[in-house]
Amino acid sequence: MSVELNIQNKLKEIFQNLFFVNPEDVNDKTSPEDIEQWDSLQHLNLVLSIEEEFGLSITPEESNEMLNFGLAAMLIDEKLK
Amino acid sequence: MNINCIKDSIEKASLHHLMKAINDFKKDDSSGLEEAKVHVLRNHTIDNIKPFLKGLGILSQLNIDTVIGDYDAFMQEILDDNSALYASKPDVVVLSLVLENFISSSSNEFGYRNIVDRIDQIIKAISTRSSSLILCNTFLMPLYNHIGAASFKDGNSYESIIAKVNLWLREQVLESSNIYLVDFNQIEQRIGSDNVRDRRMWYVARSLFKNAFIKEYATEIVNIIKVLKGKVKKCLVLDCDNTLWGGVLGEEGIDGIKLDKYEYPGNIYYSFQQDILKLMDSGTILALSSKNNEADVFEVLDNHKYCLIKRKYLSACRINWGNKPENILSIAKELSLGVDSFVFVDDSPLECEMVKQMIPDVAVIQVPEDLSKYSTALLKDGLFASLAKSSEDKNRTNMYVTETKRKQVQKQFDNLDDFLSSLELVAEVSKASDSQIQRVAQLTQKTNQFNLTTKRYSEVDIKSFVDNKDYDVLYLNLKDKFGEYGSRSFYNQIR
Repeated sequence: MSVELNIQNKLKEIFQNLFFVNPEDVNDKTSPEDIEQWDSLQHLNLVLSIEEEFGLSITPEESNEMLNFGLAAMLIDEKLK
Repeated sequence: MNINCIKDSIEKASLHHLMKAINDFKKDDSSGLEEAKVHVLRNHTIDNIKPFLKGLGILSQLNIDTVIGDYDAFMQEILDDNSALYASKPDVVVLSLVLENFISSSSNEFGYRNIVDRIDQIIKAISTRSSSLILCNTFLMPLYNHIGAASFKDGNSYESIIAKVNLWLREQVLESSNIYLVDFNQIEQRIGSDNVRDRRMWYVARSLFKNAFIKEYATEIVNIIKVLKGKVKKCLVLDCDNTLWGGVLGEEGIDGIKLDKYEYPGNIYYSFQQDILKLMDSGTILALSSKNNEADVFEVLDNHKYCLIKRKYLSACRINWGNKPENILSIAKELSLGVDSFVFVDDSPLECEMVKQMIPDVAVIQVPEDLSKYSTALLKDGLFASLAKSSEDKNRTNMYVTETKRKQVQKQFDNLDDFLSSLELVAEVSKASDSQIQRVAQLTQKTNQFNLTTKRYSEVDIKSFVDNKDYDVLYLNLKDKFGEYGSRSFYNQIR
């Protein structure tokens, strides 16, 4: 299993927990446009949950770049390298 | 299963796991939970308190519905008689203020007088429109003084102002029965300052607190709601060996067990006993359940130099070789108390697990393996929380001990009627005056089985009935030849 798939699955689980979405409905392009619960407040919780699950810290600038699922996964992948 | 998921995620302050666990729980039948309402007025982002209140509530058989008022719009909500704040009649209004966003610390307005006047206005505005309990918070002391040592020399320094405002808040709580306080500085001490503030989220989103802090804040709120809803612990059932003292009495004897004012580890058990006496002083009744020879245990209680728990303090004893769940059930029967008001302390993981399995309503505390954590184990879950200390609390132990004597007499009679007439019962019905308000409110909060309307009233509610000419608030005092039962019932009648 590639590292990236691991990250994707873990991140999908966070999406499922926070936004109550089906992980199968989430793809790289999934953005706040598609998920009603993904508002600015839950975006903060997304950042905190990623930090908790992956053991890393995200700056406000990086947080602003997490515009969709794919970009968030890429950021995590970068930071874990 | 879901309950354990909720418990775990709260323990870890993991928000996304908590949200999932709560969502899963809702799918199950949650109809057995008692409803409670919280309204949060705030000047900072504290929305995450909602899932924590929900989760902690579920663990205490409560379904807590939380409304978070609009960001920094609490004044409009408070002053509008038709706002959701008053329409929903919340059990608790949480006034959640952080100084960082209250009055700008760089402005000329930032001063002790201005701050307390503003808070006073807010509290009075809510109090005149609502009988909800109002929960304020103290303000966090910064980790470093802005001007070093000079901070203490200047009564108007930032830190001096915070210290004075916090003291003022405590005074308000002492003076009014509807105001309560959560001490943020105490929470900070409990969890460590690294777990309190998230500076980054403060600047990004005016969200000051980490979830670890919010969890503790929510716990304090839920502890108050538990008392309001009558979910209080009344009886502490204690094991003896390795619980009240170190070692096994049957093997080591009275001189061998570890219980000492000065020497480690006996001093840990000594201070545990001190804590128990404090609980007894505020109305918790004590019982023993221990696998031992009764005479040996009584020998320690009566004659050990450092045993603070005396035989006369105990309302019930089950010193036998029977199983603990059965002992607890029989104590509950003897004292006429529900098992949901019981706390059980034991060092054996097996005994603890047995009680958890067979009587899930009993709160179980296992003596921690690291004995230095023993002193906080009893208090950390807020099991013995109370909203006010009434003079009757102090006498409660006495009343239960007298009750035990009554039961012994009862055994001597063949029928109940003979027994009852031998008691020479006298009931006095009186109109409640101001001095009984606290006790009457407590009666509505603590009585479950014979609470005919199951309405719970705060002191403010009762006071409003007493002051209202259209109502008579009557209470009944009962005594017999053994002693007073105290105020046992109350009745609220519309004239």
